[in-house]
Amino acid sequence: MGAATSEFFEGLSKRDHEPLLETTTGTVRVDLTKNGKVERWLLAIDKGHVDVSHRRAKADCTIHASTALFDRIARGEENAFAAALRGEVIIEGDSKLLVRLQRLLPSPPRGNRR
Amino acid sequence: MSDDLVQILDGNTFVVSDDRGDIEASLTDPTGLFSFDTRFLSRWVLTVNGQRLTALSTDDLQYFETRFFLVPGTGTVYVDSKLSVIRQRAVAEGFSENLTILNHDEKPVDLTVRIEAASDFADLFEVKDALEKKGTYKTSVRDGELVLKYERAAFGRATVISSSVPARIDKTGLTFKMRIEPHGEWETRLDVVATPVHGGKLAKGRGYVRVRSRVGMAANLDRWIDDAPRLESDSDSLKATYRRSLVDLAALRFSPPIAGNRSLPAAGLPWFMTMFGRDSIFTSLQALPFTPELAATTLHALGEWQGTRVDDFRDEDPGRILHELRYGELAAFEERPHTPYYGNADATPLFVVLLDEYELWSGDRKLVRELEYEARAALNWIDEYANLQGNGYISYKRRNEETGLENQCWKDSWDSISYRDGRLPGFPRATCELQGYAYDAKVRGARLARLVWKDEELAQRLTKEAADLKRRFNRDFWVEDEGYFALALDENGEQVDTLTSNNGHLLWSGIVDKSKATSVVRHLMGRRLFSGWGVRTLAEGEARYNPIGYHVGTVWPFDCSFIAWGLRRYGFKEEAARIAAGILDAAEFFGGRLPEAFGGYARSVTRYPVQYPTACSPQAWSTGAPLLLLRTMLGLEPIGNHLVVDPALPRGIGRLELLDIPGRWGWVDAFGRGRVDVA
Repeated sequence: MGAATSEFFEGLSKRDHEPLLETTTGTVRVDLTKNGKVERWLLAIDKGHVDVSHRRAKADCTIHASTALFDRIARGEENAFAAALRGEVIIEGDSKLLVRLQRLLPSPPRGNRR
Repeated sequence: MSDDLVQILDGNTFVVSDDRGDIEASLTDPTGLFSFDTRFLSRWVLTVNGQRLTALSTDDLQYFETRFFLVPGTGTVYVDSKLSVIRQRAVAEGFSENLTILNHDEKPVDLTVRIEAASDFADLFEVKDALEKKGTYKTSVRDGELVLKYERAAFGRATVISSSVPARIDKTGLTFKMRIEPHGEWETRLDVVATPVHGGKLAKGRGYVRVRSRVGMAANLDRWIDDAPRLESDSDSLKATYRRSLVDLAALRFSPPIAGNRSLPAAGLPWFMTMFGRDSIFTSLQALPFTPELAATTLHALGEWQGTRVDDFRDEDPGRILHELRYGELAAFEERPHTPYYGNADATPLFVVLLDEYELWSGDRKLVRELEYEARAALNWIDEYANLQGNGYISYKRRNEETGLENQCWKDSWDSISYRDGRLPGFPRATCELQGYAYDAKVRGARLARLVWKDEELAQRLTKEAADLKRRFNRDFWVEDEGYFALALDENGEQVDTLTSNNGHLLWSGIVDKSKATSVVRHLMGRRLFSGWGVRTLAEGEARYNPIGYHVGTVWPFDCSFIAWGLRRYGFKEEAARIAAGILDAAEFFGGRLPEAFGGYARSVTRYPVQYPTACSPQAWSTGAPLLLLRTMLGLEPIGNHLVVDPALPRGIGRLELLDIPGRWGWVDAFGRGRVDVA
């Protein structure tokens, strides 16, 4: 399990109210793969409140990535949208929810140069 | 775009070919099938019995569909053929092409028809900058399909080509052999599908390209025109320009994947069919009285992508509205920062301006409530992130020095900001119009805070800040000796003192002291700035003035339309009518389709407007210019639940009726008659 990923998702569930998700309602499933094993996160977003679990359920948007890549995303080192364009993050369903989720991710290190 | 190229499109999928329908692209040649900023076909050449064809005519049926009438052979003087070839092409998930061959002879004919196909999968930026590819190509033939594939790590794109009549397919194309009876015909349909590749597999059917049927697209265009206000006038030219604008605006609609089926105006066709903060906002403002849904979608989509982080590569800050979003390979691998790129200094205050103007017209407070967080963050950006010099003005200086933009205002070419003697200032630069937009955003933000967000404290703070900004601006930017506003303050806070069209945007924003307006208008309408067609970007007599310099002397129809709005705002009705007359006269020379810019030569010298050679046509904010000029000529202003009409029309237009203008009032009609002498 990616430490930064856990920290990010658990941080979401601890926030009483996330203003960036004020107008968002929907479910996002994040399927992370490491050594052939899939780790599941399910985010149920209800107008600013986020319920985080590992339940197996259908979601409005499913995000597939490797555990290592998502950990870098959760640390702000990797841009989720660019990774999606590269095919390293695969999105099924409502891609708007990825954009919403991305807004909650931390900033990259200063002076990031490609 | 040169005249002998033919283009069709739907959203950001488009085909550019020669007048025979053939595509023979090189890395730098801008023909091909493009989708999501990638070229999916760079070669598509038709031969009949080994011969190329000659175009008799090309019919642009709709913006998404065209028809080529061809005959075999490339005779230069006289064509006598017993065969006709018709290619009818429409944009779909790529495009579909109905190929028909007619035999006019009394004898049967045996033919070999060949389509050569290939793709370089160039990124749009590579086509512009001629860069080398880093991935690998793979071509395969299977199940009656030719599959062209490009892969780089997990990134993959493919083109799948098939035909309704079975063909002999090899890796470079499709071959058909047939006999056509006397006066008979032969037909096949060719399908070219552009698709992403995930894990080596084609994402066909669940890719990012939304398909609309040809019939659906035609019905959609009809409905679009029907829904817009109807224009009646003695001026046939104005009627033609209005219709051209509506059709072009329809073609420029773009549905980003996050916006569902709703669309916003992309910046220009075909190379800028994507979200641009500035262009989408300006065009939405121009089109508000005609197609208000564009503004709603623009606000939604730009709000979704609003910056939340500090990202130096993307020049992103919390609250900043994006500049440009791209989907191609270079963006994907972060060789370009467009995922999205945030380097502009105007779209963020303009986002608030559009939100308020949209509410004034539509009464849609629900959207204002939904975007409260984003609007507050945009207002916060002005003081927290854009005040780079600590002097209370918006300045810009890129943090991405390799691939970011130097000039982050609408005049974004390298030499657009200069002193009178031609020197270029250092960075940060605080151009004047940015301060106007910031002022307007605060004034309008205060109104929304009071009316919708019920936050009296914020309203009072913004009102006070706006008043303070206006006071300082009229002191610090005013060029006392000349009586106009400086183009910018440089990195030392000193005036960049050139005379420019930016003064008109200042009138539009309302930041200009009433006592200074007459002097500003005298300059805008004076010999150095006003060419007779419109207002030059840079005044004659400045060191860098060049009548065909991109932002240093040409006339931009979009710029002029906002200047006309500014003139109306300060009560200069007749001057606004003169600008409208000049730009609309120019539109007539361009068949109703205004270019991005035209030469700054005096009208009395050239008699016709000289087109500036640009790659994109139509350009969204040029398309929107006649719409905004209709608004300014009729003096349309929403006041409460009413639409006030206060016409001041150039005499040449005669009678003008704009019927069924949508808004919070339902639908109302506006009437006017040309009484202003503009000559």
